[in-house]
Amino acid sequence: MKRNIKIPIALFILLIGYVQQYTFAQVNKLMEAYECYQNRNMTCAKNKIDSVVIHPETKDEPGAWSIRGYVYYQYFKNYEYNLYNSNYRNEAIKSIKKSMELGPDAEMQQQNKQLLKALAESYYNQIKIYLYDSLNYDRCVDLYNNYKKMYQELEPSMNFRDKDIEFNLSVGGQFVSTVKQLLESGSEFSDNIFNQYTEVAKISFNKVLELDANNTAALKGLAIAYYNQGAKLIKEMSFDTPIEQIEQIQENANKYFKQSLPYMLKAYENKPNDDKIIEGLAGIYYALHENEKFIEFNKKLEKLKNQK
Amino acid sequence: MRLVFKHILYSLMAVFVFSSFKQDYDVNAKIKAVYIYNLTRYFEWPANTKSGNFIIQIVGNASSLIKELNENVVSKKTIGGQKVELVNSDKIDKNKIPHVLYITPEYAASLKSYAAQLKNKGTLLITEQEGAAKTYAVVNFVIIENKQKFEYNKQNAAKYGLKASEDIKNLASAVY
Repeated sequence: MKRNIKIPIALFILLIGYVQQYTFAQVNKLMEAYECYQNRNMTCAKNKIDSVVIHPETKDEPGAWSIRGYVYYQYFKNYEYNLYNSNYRNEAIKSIKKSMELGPDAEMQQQNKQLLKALAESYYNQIKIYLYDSLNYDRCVDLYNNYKKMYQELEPSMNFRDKDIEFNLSVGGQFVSTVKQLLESGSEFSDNIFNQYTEVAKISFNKVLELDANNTAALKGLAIAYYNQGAKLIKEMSFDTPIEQIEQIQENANKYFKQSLPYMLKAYENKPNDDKIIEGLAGIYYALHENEKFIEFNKKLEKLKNQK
Repeated sequence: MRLVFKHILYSLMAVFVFSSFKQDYDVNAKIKAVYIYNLTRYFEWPANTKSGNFIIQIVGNASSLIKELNENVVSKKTIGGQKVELVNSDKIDKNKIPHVLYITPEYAASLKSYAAQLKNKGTLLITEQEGAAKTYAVVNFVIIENKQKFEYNKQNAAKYGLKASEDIKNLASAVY
């Protein structure tokens, strides 16, 4: 949803106070820019404020730069909200930072900070596009780092632990789910894609475990990532594979299934009544031909389903 | 008057849906299917069974195995120059004696009956039941160290009218 950000009236009143020293023509232009903005005529607001901030009399006026930041932010929201490298956003950031450098009073500083936070958060909000639509890990990381860097400048004491967990779980979850869908779809996909996606998932889930060693979703995600690697070896086994090689392929797949198991068991310890975890354990034991365990967890799954 | 500046930080997790672990792909069925197809290379069927379709019959519920065989063998391979046909039935059709009969564990109790019906008919009888290679099966799937392997009974092969390559003895986990 796009919103028209209203320039705070307080900011405007301050602005008028600041610019009294300047010529009437420049004050007039600034007021006109403000009016255009309020009337949602962004083209007009942009043209006028762009000329104000380059005029020798007003180029060092913090309020003018602040308004420019608002106008460009609105442009960003209207036209480039989904754009990874938006010039309008860059200009908005540059303008607000310039306003801050020029020593605005406390009220304007506060308004500027709010806009910078919104700009920082726009990076975070864009992650969805590059994660869920195009699975572009590098861009997701860049966007997240931009968000963190900007936010840290505004709130140096901010603790990003929860956001780091959320980001990495989302990335890991999306990549591991995509790999699983590819495996089950029967469609052809390259080893390179599979390995790359699996590696991203593993890195992301491990980052979560570094922050929260007992995180159930990350444990489950890692278990699935390893399981997928084993399943892929079996799925891709050619029907012309000589019998003596079938055993070796099973051996290689089992290494992954065995790596998967401790993560899923730990997730099960955390959430013994989670049907997806129980289903996962049954699946891993099935792949390992551990029939008794497979039956045990399948029974637990049935029991859980009957209770629901 | 001061207007509050509002902005929204969306949660990524709101759309983060962890996929189910449901096993839509059956890894063990694939291994069995590859074994079944490859085992046929080690046997020679009687001359009177070398015309018409090469019939693989599955006794019992084995939908994943049937899917694997249908998709990868029936539609893509021939065995001994014969087109492959898959039958899923617990009844032996006297007019359609299978070249390969795979009996799922749920039908293991009927092994003796199937063996009697198929004596000298040219059928590779495959089971998945402890001890079956010592009784009626030619090949019996077993699990050893988390891996699917098979046991082999040479005499049973002869009883069903099959000639077997000596190589299969080296591939089996046990030979009877």
